[in-house]
Amino acid sequence: MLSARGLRKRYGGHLAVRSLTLDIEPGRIVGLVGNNGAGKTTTIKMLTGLLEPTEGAVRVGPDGGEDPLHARVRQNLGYLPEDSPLYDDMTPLGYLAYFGALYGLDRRACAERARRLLGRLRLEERHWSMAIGKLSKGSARKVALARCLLHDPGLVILDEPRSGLDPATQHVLDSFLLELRAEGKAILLSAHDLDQVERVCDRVLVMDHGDVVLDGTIQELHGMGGPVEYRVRATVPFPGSRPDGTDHVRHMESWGDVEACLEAVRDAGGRVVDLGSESPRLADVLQRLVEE
Amino acid sequence: MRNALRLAVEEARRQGRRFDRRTLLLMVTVGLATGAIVAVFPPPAPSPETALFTVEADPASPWLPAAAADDRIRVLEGQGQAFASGEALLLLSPEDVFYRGDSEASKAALEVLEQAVRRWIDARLRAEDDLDAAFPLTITLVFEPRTVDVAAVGPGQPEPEPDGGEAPGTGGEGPGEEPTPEPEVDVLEEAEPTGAIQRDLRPEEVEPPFPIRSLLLTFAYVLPAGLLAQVHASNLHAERVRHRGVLLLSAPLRSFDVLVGKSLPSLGLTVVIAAVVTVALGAGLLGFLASLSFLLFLFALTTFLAVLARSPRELSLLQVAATTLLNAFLFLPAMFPSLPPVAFLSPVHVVATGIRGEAVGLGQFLYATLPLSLGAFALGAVAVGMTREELLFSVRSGTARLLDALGAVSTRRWSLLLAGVLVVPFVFVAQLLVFVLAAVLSLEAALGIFLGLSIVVEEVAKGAVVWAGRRPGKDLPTTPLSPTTLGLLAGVGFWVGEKSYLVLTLVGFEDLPFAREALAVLGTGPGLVGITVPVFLHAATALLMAHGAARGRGWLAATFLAAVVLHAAYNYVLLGRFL
Repeated sequence: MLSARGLRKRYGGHLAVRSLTLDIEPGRIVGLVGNNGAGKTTTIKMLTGLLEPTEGAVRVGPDGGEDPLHARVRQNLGYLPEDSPLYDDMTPLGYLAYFGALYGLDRRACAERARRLLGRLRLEERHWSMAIGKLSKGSARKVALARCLLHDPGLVILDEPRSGLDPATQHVLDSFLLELRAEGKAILLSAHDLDQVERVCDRVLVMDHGDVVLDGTIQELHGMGGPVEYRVRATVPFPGSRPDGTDHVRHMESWGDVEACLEAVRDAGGRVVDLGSESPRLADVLQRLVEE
Repeated sequence: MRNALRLAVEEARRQGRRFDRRTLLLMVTVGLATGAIVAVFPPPAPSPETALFTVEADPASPWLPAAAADDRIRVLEGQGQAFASGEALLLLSPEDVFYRGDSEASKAALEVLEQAVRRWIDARLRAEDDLDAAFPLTITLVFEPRTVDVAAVGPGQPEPEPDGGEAPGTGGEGPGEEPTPEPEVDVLEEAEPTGAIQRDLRPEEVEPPFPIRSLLLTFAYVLPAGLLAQVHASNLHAERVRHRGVLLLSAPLRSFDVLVGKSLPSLGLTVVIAAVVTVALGAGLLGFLASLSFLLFLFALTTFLAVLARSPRELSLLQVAATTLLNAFLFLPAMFPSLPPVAFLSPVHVVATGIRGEAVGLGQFLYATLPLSLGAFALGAVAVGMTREELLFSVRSGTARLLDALGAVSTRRWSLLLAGVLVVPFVFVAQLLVFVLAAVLSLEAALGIFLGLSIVVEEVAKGAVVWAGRRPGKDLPTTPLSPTTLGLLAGVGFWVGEKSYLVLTLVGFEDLPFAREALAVLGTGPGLVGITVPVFLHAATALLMAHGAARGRGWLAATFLAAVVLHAAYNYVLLGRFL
């Protein structure tokens, strides 16, 4: 659906993006993460055709695709900028009708789709005909998201879609993204919230100072976080344990060590009260990678 | 264009929904202001009530037809009674024209009569089939100021004209021979207490009896257009400062569609108002088309400023400065209708002429409207060039973004050549503005300032093209051209634009002696040399600056100064020899 090769963007003497290669397939959500100034927004603007790359090329669509600088390519592209100011004096339905016309949608079909989208995003019906300026930030964000999906694009690029949303609405958004993936849309999601990325993304690109420092699936990233850590808690002391309240605890990385601990507790006449394992959180993995 | 229209329709709908009391108040204000202008200054109809000057004419006077054909003159038939009573400012007898030397109004009437006679004679000659026979000679009149001691002129003696000639336009004998009027009113010049009358006219003393009514009526076009352009600029600027424009730029629209679509509703309304005003004032088709040239320029200018300014405050400052200069350019030349090459610098003069029901030649129309029309096109192209994410929402200085925009529309060789051509209207407008503003000084000072600043303006224009072609910062991807190619394209483009406009000017005023002579010379060897040689000057100075620009700003500044010196030396040596 989208293929970018060797993207590079220079602003005067500053290299915002060094070299970025990326593919997004239909039915997949790719996360783009990194600290502020990492080059995420510049990358997104190049992918949407808003910025012309200094080097490299972006292609959208099947059979080699076309440059997103062409207006007709954008017909199949839905873009939600991080800061998405709307026309405060318009109503959500009027606003969506305005953009629907720009995308060449039939007025009646557009109104029908607008209502369906606003419903799916759980924007209260009484808000549909209110001035956008009177809506809460979260409700306005839902309208912006509906605009981005109004023309049923195959490729959706979202820059910080959770920005300004309350936890309940964030949950609605995540569910909605998974529904879109199930519908076969190719989605690029730029986010600061790594838990969201871990929950909904299939693949993640980590950017730092204009470079892609990591590109892999969620499973691969978990693997990079180090081995699984086992934890044994018992009522009696055993080799390598330390007191923790009335119990004794030991953390270890080898299953063989776990078996030896279990045997030692049993020999001492004690009882194992907890045996568990912990995988490293993706957020910790990414943070460590960026710091390195 | 379909997308632009689609956006225009949606934008008109959106604006329509925003129709509130404030909008209503604005529209009523505009309507009242426009109506007030038309009501207070109704179009001058050729009727005795609206004519400015009353003259008394003997039916046998040869000046009667010319006077009667001029809307500004009200003719009373008679042999001197109205003149004697003071009702008439002039007396046209079968042999002479009489005026009052002690009356400024009478002198002004005399000048208007002179213009009327010239127009009448010109109109009759132009109606001839054989124009060469109609205009066989060119006579250049040079008026030398001189002082006449009228104390030496005795009563009843033939009295010479104070400025050394006969009453202008009369072509007759001295006015001292009149027998009819009463002695107390038949005073052509009264002696000052000093016994001498000094008439040494300087430009600032010239008070042309310009058609103020028709000129004021043109405000009926400018006023609503100015207000609508302001509103349009604010709306467009809001798309910028709040980054809403990003959504339009990521939609399936080109930058052209976005700008045109956003502008069309206001511009369309302005054109409709202009059409209504044209009908109300009877300015005619050419008047309407001429009004479109400056209305389009105004809209292109405000659109350009809206995408250039970084804040509403900056937009306001730029708009005030730009519209003040534009209004000076539109109205100052039009105040000199007796000097057609000056008056027709402004399309407002075409409109005012149309309101008076007078004819305008096609060449004069093009001469008056083409610079602003091309300027509007060029400004629009640059504004479209700036309507891209990295320029529209950039916090870089306006100059840097302007140069980037020029560069953005000059990505190929032919477009760079075109950029060289398109800066020419701005150069002319700037030069004409300098000329108009400097004209209040003495002629020598005005000429000196004009010639000096003209060189600077031309080199700045070429320098801007080569600097833009070099693309400072390289933010926008482009195919770099060598400095030599860049300089040659910019210089040759400028020359093409400059000489095309020169030829247009001469064709537009071929009725005037200087234009006929120049056109005749153009067809000859020296004429072709004269029009060709400047290409070397423009190419050389642009080449110089292109190589300077390739090395950085400091070098560009140095080569710019060198280009100005080279240009001045060229003017001094070559033009000084030919002129």
